[in-house]
Amino acid sequence: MLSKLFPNVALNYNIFQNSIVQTVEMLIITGIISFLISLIIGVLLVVTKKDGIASNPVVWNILDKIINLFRSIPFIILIAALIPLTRVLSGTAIGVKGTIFPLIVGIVPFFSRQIESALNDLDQGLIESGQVMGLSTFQIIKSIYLKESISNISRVTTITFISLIGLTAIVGVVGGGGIGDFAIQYGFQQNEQDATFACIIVLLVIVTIVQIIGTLVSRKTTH
Amino acid sequence: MTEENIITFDHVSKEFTRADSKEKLQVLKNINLKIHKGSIFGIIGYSGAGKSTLIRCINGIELPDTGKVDFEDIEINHMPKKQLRETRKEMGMIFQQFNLMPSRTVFENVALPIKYSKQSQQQIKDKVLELLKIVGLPDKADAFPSTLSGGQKQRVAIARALVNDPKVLLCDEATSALDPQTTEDIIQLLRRLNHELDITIVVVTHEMQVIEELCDDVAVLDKGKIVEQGDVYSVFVDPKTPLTKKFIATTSKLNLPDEVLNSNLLKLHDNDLLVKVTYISSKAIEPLISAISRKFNVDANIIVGDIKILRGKPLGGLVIILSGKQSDVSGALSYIKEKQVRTEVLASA
Repeated sequence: MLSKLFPNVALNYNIFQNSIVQTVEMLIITGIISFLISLIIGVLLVVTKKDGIASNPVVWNILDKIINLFRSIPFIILIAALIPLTRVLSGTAIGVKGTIFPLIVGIVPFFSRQIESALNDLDQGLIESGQVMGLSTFQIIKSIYLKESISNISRVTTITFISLIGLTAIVGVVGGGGIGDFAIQYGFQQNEQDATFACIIVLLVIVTIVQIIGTLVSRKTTH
Repeated sequence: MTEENIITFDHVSKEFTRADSKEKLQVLKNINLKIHKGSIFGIIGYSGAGKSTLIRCINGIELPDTGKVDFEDIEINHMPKKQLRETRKEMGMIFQQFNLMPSRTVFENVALPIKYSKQSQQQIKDKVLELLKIVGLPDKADAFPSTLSGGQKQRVAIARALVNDPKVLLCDEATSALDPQTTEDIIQLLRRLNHELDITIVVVTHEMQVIEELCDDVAVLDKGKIVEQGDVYSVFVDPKTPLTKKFIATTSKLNLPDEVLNSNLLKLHDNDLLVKVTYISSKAIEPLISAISRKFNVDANIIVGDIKILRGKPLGGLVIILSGKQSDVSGALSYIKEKQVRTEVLASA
């Protein structure tokens, strides 16, 4: 059946399988690292803003400007610009190993903004009630900002992961491996239309799984 | 009630700079207040009068530009952060919108302020369950706030505000989002807590009914200034400023609207006078009515009566039509005026 519908995929089945593994690998590694970094930056943006619980205009302005700078660079250009730095950090600029760094730099600014808006959505009254209880800044971040935003954070994380899937496909252009790479090499360069379709189906499945998990977490944490 | 002050405001002023116009807005103007330990102190004003800012100066959420706020003779507005946090634990606060954590159960909400304290899990559990019993929700520990009614949410918020055994409970429009019956219940609960726990309560509201039923002392706030203050009974029987009168009018049925005054419902004949008689002391009005009818041979026809007992003293009065011979009516009127009641002629024939 596979060889009938997708003859070229069947022919390179091992490579195809491998590229799926690579995409999943990129998603998981980049996802976890960028989630942690973005969570920290998002929290910093919210607490250091004007009227924030640890207002600090200098920190806020620096973060704000850096994020805007990186968000204005198209990802494909960013990859190219980062190559020297990627080589230093990962030892290589190609393959899965070479894509992790640019992927993180590419997604963190967007992800941080998403986390920031998720946290800003929280009712200001909840934060105030934390302050009147005599909780410290750290306790308010942990017990109110993060705890009460779990549902919102999982929603924006889903959105970000779906964007990240898009970025993992783009790194294929520069030989980053994964589904994108497969689609370019076989679907585009060798004009094997069925390979392109197979890649679309795989990406669709991954997006759906991410969406389902996101919705589940969000629903489980909303009362 | 002792006369010891637990909170004092000394020449407190504060400005906000409006973000849009850079215009400076004076929210508090030279506020001087003394709140007695163990009392219930009410602050009333329209929205925008600065009430919320004022109450937030007590726990240092807002800091005054000039002047000082003392809590038990320690200045709030120059405290180091850590000491301020510790001091806040001695003051509970409840809000109009309750501000319960939606992802936490009632139990977890009440336990939140002591979550990071040194108390053991068992101690926390005992404390929380005891408080839920006090506020009348012993069986709601595992419920989520979204399943509770407004009144129940406010009870949970009260339990949460009390979990640190505070000396002061600050209430920011705590009943404004509740229906009249629930407001009544919450007022009763607050009175009981004041009584049983000997906790000082500071209430900010725009509802005169809350002041009337709950507070011992009241301050009227208008555009950032305290225009009148005193014990609730004296302010109610003898309001000095138009704003205070306006607020009190909302709780009294004695204020006949102009449509009624000008309508045919109140037909005044010949020498008739429409008179409002109100209490300014505990001297009763009713014997006065029968006295004038006997002494002056006038009819005193009661149109509206609104008499209630406030802090054990009568409050309110009557609107009556006096009719009879001219000399009798004016004689009766001057007789009433000599007594310890306030008399106001609303209309004459």
